[in-house]
Amino acid sequence: MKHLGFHILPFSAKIMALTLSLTFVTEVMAKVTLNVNPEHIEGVEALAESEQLEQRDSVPTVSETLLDELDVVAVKGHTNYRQRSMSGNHLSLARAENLGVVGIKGMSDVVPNFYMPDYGSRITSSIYVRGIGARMDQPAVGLTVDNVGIMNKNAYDFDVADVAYVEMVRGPQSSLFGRNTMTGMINIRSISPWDYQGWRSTVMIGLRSLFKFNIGWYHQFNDKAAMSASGNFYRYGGKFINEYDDKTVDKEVYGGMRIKNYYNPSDAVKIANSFSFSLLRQGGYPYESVATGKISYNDTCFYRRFMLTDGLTVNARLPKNLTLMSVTTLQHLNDNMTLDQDFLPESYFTLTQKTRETAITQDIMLRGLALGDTYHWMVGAYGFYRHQRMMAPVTFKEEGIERLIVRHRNEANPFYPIKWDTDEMPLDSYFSLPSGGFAIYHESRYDLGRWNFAAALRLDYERISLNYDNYCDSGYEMYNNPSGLLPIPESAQPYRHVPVDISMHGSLKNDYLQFSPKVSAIYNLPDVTLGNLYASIGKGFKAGGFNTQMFSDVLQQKVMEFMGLSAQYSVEDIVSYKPEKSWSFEIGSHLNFLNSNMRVDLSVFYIDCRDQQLTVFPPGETTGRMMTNAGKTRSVGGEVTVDYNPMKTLNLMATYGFTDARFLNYESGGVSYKGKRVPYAPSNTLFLQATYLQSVSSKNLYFIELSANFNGAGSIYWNESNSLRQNFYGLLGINIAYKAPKWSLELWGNNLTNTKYSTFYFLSMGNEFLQRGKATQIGLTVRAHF
Amino acid sequence: MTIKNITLGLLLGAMSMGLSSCLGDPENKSSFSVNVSNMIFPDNPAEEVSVDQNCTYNIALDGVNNTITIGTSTLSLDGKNNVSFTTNEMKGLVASVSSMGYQSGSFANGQAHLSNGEEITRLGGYFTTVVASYAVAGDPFPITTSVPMLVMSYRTNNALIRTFSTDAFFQGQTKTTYAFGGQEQSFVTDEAVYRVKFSSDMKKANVVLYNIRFASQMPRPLQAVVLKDVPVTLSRAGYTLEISDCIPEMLESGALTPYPSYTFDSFKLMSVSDDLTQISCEYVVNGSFKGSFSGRSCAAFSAQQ
Repeated sequence: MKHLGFHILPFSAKIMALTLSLTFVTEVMAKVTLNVNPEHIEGVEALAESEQLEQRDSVPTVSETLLDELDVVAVKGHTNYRQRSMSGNHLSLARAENLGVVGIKGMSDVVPNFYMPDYGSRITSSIYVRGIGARMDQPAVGLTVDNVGIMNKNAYDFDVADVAYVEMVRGPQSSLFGRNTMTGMINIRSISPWDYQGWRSTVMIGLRSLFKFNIGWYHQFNDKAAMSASGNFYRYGGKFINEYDDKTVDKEVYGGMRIKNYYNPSDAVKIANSFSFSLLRQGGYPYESVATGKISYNDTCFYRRFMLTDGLTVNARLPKNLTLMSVTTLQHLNDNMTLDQDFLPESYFTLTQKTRETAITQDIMLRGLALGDTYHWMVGAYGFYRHQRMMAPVTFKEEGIERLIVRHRNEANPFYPIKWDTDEMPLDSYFSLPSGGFAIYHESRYDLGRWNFAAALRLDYERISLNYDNYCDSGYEMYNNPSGLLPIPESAQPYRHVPVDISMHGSLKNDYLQFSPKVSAIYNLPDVTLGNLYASIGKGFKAGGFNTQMFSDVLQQKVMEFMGLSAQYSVEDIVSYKPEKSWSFEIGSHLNFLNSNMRVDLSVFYIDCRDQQLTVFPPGETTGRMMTNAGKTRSVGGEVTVDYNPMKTLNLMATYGFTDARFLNYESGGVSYKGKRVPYAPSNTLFLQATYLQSVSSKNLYFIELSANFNGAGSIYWNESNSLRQNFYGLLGINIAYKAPKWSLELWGNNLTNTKYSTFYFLSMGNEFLQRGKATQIGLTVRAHF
Repeated sequence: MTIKNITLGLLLGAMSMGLSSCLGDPENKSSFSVNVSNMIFPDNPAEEVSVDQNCTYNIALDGVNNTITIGTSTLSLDGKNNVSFTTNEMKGLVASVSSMGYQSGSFANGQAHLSNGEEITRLGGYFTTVVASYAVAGDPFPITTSVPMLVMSYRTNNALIRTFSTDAFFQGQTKTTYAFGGQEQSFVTDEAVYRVKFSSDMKKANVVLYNIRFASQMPRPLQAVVLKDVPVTLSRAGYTLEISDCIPEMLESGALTPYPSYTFDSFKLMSVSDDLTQISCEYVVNGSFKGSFSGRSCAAFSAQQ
């Protein structure tokens, strides 16, 4: 696009221009090719909105059947979770807009016992559910967006411009969804053109140069074909200042697009395709030194990402009540994370991690009924192939070489001290990680009067490989210093030159077989409107793999070997880890009172987690890490969700989760942490919201909506020894909206009390760092649809 | 790299376990050579203990009949002339585990006629061809071939002969005490390996401490600490190595670098068993670390460079 002068525009403008142009082009192309006459009825929009308010948290009403038939999560039996043996929460379109939820992180404020702290950058997707989770590598929660199951946790944090429905179910889902759904599943659906036709747009501005723009076009050509195209753009000027250069560190520019096509060649066959891509450029990593209270580091930190996904769903209704469904997805991720790894104003070391990953998945399932519709069964098969290439150089800089290597070496031998040849020493690493797997699964559900019994079984086989190439080409000069005085005096004579030439390559392979059963029972109360009670037992697992970040430790060992220090363990010891497994026991209820104006969900659970994937210091070691299956954890707790409409114009919602997650067995560096609380997972989560709607016109076309919310989490321990913690904190938000039939204006604020809290803590080279939570944010949102 | 720890108990256990695998196998006959040194203890107390280096013993195994035959043609009792002998077929335990590629055996009551007319009696001992691998990049004394282990003693008309390796590795327990943070602390490790490599004239030896840590606060063990040219004294008890104020050299990027700050104020190492397979050692490093070691000979190693 060079001839348009595109290349001279800043990145943010490029994203905006691309989004708008593609959206308009799509509409024009559709009209030209299909010659369709879209229908639009005034007033229906406002009525639809008010109906949605009345049915605030119900499952989407329009085309529910169509959605269920084209949603893999629904087909596997997770819609409606209130009729199933699982706990869950969901956000409707209205509540998602009210709370500003555009992705997975927003759910963290609402869903009990689900915590996804906002720190680092969008590559950081640490998720904790019921005390179980991970900071690195494999996620414990699955994520699907319009049927595309996102494979890489680094890609979990992205915005969906037109969220129609977000749900999260808790408890192991591995018996149907396989790997990395050990503690639950999040399913995001965007607006379907079957549900809405026309245009929708949103403009949001806020403090610190916050600007967000969404636009979507939704069109139903006829009863066979529909299409939508939506785009979003987001820019944030940032709040945290790097005092080293007085620049804002947490700036962000993000843009994306989603195109969905639906085609029903017959009443029995439905086809849908969802294509999306996004671009991100972000600063990130506003880590504050605990000692100084300042963010100050001299090397650049940023995260850039390009994501592309495509999901093709085909659903066919066959004779004899059979349904065949196929979901094929393609995912591509290309990102670059670059860090000042020490987060200090001195030049110790920097890290770059560039990843290119492509994955293909295929899920096919057959569903049927028997025994007079009392027996429901499903069988399925799943396969995937994923190829990841990564380049991850770590560069030791001047201070790092001097203080971490040279100084220690010279203190040990001042009579033969050294000087490094260069100011920088790059440790280059290249990896390729091909992996693939296959699974078969089955579920049976049997209705017996008020009872429903279900059993599911899944067998997963996975093979993973790691090919690695690591290089270092450096060296130092050794001197003969008879005086033994330091720094090296002029009189010292060169003794010999020592090359540090590391070349390390090899391959590792592992394969795993996992068997994931689940059984459950539901008792529907005599008055069916009252709800049900349930119990379930299920097994979940997180995939095994290789943690390439550990190679920096491997290379450090190699450098130490050059200095005369022994290596302690092999590559395979410290980068390879097996699957993590859990057994979950849960009982709960989904209850409705007051003519279903009050919905109450309760659950209590016990989770036994084995072979937990943890990083540990080997016995006797105070430096160097290993990735290992070292932990046993148990987690016990409960959740409650109350959704109450005392009147049509008032909604009250509350969710609370409590978790006591502790190590049953965990040793690191010769220290036992048995009985200690699992760090980074909050023991309590709380969400409260009150929303009041007041009509300001005689025809109920204009409304004022007042909404206040409170969300909190804590306490959170920051380390295994439980010596540091973040106490429970709460954040207050308000949303005041004026809603007209075709547009709305919202004034909103988050963390209005400017509560100070921390979302992350870590130790690096003996230095403590924290990331502070987001300060007060106030903004204005205008929505329009036509 | 870690060392496979082959203890005598494990060795004998493996021998007994392997026994059943080779009985009755008509093909189970083999032979191999072991290059060891002989320490010669004359019956006459006026005569000094001496060493015959580079003697090759040939060991023939018959797994069917469970017999072992040992012979040599390179034994030198006077330091000048070679003599030879071949024992009778000694009944013994033979273990052969071809899948693991090693053989082990023990034998006793061997006899033979020496080519110089003397008699060999009370010949007994054990052997193993187990090869453990121990690799240190740039090892100061690299080994290129694997050397089986033979521990044997026998009598001639007027001397007791004991075999031993002039390049032996020992594994056991190292204990150090030192002051840290104003308190006396101690540290114990069994990861270190001690090597004693005698010179050809047996007057000196190079001692290498592999994978050694002197304190728990040391983040990593040192790959190789070398004490060069430690004087050797032979006696009726075996051998003793002793030196003071020795500046060690440490392996650094494939070459040895002197480390004056780790000066061994004193170092003494002695053989402490009749069969010369066990040693004890005491030393003081830099006036700060007091170390002691007791260990036994491991099977010989082939270094993989």
